[in-house]
Amino acid sequence: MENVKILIVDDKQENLNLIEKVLEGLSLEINSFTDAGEAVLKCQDTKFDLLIIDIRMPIIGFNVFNKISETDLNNGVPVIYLAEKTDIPNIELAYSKGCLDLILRPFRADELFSKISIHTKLQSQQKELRSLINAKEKVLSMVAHELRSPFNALIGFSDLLMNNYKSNEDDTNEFFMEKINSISNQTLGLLNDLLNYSLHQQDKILASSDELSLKSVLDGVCLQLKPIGNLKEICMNKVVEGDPIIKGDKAMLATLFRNLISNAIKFTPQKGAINLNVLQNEQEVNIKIADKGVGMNEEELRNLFKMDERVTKKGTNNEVGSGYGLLLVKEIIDKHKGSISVDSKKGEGTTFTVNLPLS
Amino acid sequence: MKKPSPDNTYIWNYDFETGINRIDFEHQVFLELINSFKIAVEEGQEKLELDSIISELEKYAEFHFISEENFMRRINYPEYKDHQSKHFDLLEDLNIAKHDETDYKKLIEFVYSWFTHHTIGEDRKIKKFLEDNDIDFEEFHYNILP
Repeated sequence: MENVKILIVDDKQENLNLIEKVLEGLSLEINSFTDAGEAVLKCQDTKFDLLIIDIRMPIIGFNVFNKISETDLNNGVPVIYLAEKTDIPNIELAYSKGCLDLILRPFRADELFSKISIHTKLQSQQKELRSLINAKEKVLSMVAHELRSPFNALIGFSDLLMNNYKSNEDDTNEFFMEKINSISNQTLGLLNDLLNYSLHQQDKILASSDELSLKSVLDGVCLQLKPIGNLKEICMNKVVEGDPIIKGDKAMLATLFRNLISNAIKFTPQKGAINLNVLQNEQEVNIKIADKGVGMNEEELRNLFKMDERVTKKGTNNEVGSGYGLLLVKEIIDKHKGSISVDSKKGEGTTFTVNLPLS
Repeated sequence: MKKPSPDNTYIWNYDFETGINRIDFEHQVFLELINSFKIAVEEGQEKLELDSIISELEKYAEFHFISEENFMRRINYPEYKDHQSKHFDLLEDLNIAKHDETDYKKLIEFVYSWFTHHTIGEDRKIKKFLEDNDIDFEEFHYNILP
C-alpha cells in the first residue's frame, strides 16, 4: 500500500509534536507547519491525501483550507479540522462546510490514532480504486482503437473483392482473401489475448497440470503461425534438443509460445529469420526465441511487463497488438513457476529466453 | 461529612472569589478536583484512576466554560469573544499537557496555575462589569429550593 500523504497545520508547535507522536506507527508521510502561508506554498507542488487543520489560528483554519483547495494539485482534498470541544459555532461551521471529520480537543490519543488510521485507510483505498479505474479506461480505449484498424482493413479488402471480383485476376482475388483471412486470425488472437487476460485477472482459469511434450506444443504453435510467417516470407529455424517433458497446462503454454513467436514474426522484416532453440539440463528446459527484427531501446525494455506502461507497437507490416500478449506471457510463466528474460538492442533484434522446470 | 484535606493541598482563598455565587461555586468544585488529582498522584494511584480524574477535570472545565460563556452572553459582556477565546486556549493547553504522562506533577502545576490565572485575571473582570452596570446576577437564575 502506498504511503498516504498528510498535511498538518497548527500554529502551536506543541500540538504538532503531540499529533505526530500519536500517529507514529501509521505508515504516513507527515508534513507539518505552524505557518499557514508556508503550508499553502507547500501545497502548490505537493499533492496531499488528507489535511488536518486547526481552526483557531491567526488565520482561521477555514481560510487556510480554501487557499489550499485553490491549488491545482489539492483541489477536492478532504480535510479534518481540529477544534475545541466547547467551540460550538466553529464546530457547526466546520460540519456545514463539509469537512471529513473533526478532532475535538481535549482528545484521547487512541481516538486520534484510530480516526486518522481509518481515514487514511479510506484515502489510500480510494487512491487505489482511482488508479484501477484509470487503468481500465485506458485498456478499453486502447482495445477499441486497436480493433478499429483491422476492421478497416477487413472492410477495405472485402470491398475490393465484392466490387471487382469478376474483373480481377484470380491471383489478385486470392491475395485479398488471404489478407482477409490473416487479418481475421490476427484479430481473433488479439481478442483471445484480451479474454484470457481478463479471465486470468479474475483467476477463472486454473492451470491444469499434465505431463506434456514441449516439442509437440511448439510444433502445434509453429504450424498455427506458419501462414502469418509465410506472408512475410520469414524463415523459421527450430532446433529442439531431445524431447523435454514438462508439467503444465497445454492450452496456456500454447498461448505463451504463440505470443512470443507471433511477436517475433511481427517485428521481423520481410524475408527475415527467427531462431527457436530449446536446450535442457537436469532441472529445467530453456527456450530461446530470437529474431533479427527492430529490437527495443532501454526504456521499451524496462516497461515491457508493466501494466500501467503498456503500449502496443505496430509490427514491421503494420500488424496490430493487444498490448496484453506479454502480460499474459508473464502470468502463464508465473503459474508454471518458470522465468523469462529478454535481451534486445534497437535495430539488432530481440531474444526472449523462457525457463520452465522439467517434470 | 467531608474528609479533611491533607496538608499540601490547594486551599480556596479570597483572591479566587469573583463574588458571583454560581461561578465561585463551580470554581470551588474545580479546585477540589485539582486536589483530588494531586492527592491521587502523590499516593501513587494507578493510571486508570488518574485518567478518570483527568477526564472529570476535563469535562468539568468544558461544562464550566460553557456555563460562564452563556452567562457572559446573557449580560452582553463586551469582552465575551475575547474571554471565550481564552477558554479555548486553556482547553488547547490542557490537551497538550494531559498527554505528557511522564510528568503528572507538571500537569498538576499546570492545571493549578491555569485555574488561578484565569480566575483572578479574567473572571473577576466579569464581576466588575456587573457592578459597573448595576446588573443583578441572581436575576438570571431560578430558585429551586423550597
